[in-house]
Amino acid sequence: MDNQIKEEIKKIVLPDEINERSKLGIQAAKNELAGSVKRFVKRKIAIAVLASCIIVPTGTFAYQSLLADDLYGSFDNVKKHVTNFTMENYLLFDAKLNKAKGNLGEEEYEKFKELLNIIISAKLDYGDKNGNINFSLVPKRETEEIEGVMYDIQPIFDKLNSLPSSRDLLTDEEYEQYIQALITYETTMALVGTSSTPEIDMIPTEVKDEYVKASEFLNYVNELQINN
Amino acid sequence: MNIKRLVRKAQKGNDSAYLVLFQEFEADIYRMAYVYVKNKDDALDIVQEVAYQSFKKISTLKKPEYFKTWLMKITINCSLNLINKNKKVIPLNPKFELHTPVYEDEDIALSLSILSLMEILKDDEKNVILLKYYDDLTFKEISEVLEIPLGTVKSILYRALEKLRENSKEVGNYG
Repeated sequence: MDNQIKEEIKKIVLPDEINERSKLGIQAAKNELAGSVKRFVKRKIAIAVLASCIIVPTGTFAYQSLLADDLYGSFDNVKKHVTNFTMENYLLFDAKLNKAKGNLGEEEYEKFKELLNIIISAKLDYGDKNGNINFSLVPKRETEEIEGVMYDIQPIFDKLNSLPSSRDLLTDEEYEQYIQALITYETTMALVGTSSTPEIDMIPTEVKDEYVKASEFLNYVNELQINN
Repeated sequence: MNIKRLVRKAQKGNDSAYLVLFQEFEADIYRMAYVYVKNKDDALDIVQEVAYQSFKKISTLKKPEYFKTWLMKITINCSLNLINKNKKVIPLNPKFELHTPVYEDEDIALSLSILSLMEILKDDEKNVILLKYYDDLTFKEISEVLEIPLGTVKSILYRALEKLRENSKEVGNYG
């Protein structure tokens, strides 16, 4: 009986188009898969954009601008991944786009993107709804890596903000303190769950002193940059 | 053909490798689909749909050695989905269908036996018969593909075989 059944089924004649239909099906799947990869990359970039804007405490600059619609899709797309994001933020970033592109040389721009990639993955792994990282929860090795990136990327932010480089203005010791202050600032924002400078009475007592100190130092650097 | 190697390549997104692999099974897919849908156009649609779905999901296939079984499962699901979909479509003017031949020229070669396989058996019986005798799967594999208990696979198979035997007897009587 079994061989007979197989023989019978094999009598079903194969049409010529069968080959073509297999190709069509695979091609359609391929196109969709390619689309989803692009979307994934865009999502990562979108989050990085937000992340980097928060690193700059004065809020002066967001080179995220270089990631306008063509890179991260649309405002809705960004909104989907980071909830606390307004149209105003988006337009602000967008407006900065041309400026950033014009201000950085090719080599510097490439380096900038490379550094950004590391921040992207950290934000994806550890960032809260605003893209802020509570560094006290991040493994030590990774915190060190992010610190290293911030060390290198901050002068580029300064340049994009048309400010003198903080690294040049500060002594090595002061620059180290500056990066630590940025980390404290971001950690506090993550603790409070805010996307802008937190009100002092919202900050948990145990970190308040550290935050005030960091905040004062950031203001000091900022003033130094403006006056130079 | 090294199926495992081609599956691995396809899982990395290599569509050319997947086409080579898929074409090895497209005839089986077409014939299985035909037993359910009983016409060339729908069976071709199923081949295309299985190609699409399987390449899209190939990364989820953990054991490349089960590639064929996995493909047959997708084929059965696609065929049953299409049948269910067609059931919901009410022909606007059934009279016209009388003028179209039920089977096209190339199908004339089909013996009464394959026709009876298609006409007499219910879908669940076709599932088991095809997997057992056309794809050479074991009872255990069939029970995994169809997600039904082993005992049920066996009882469906015996019921289906009985039906086919009865039918061939009747044909014999008339002949």
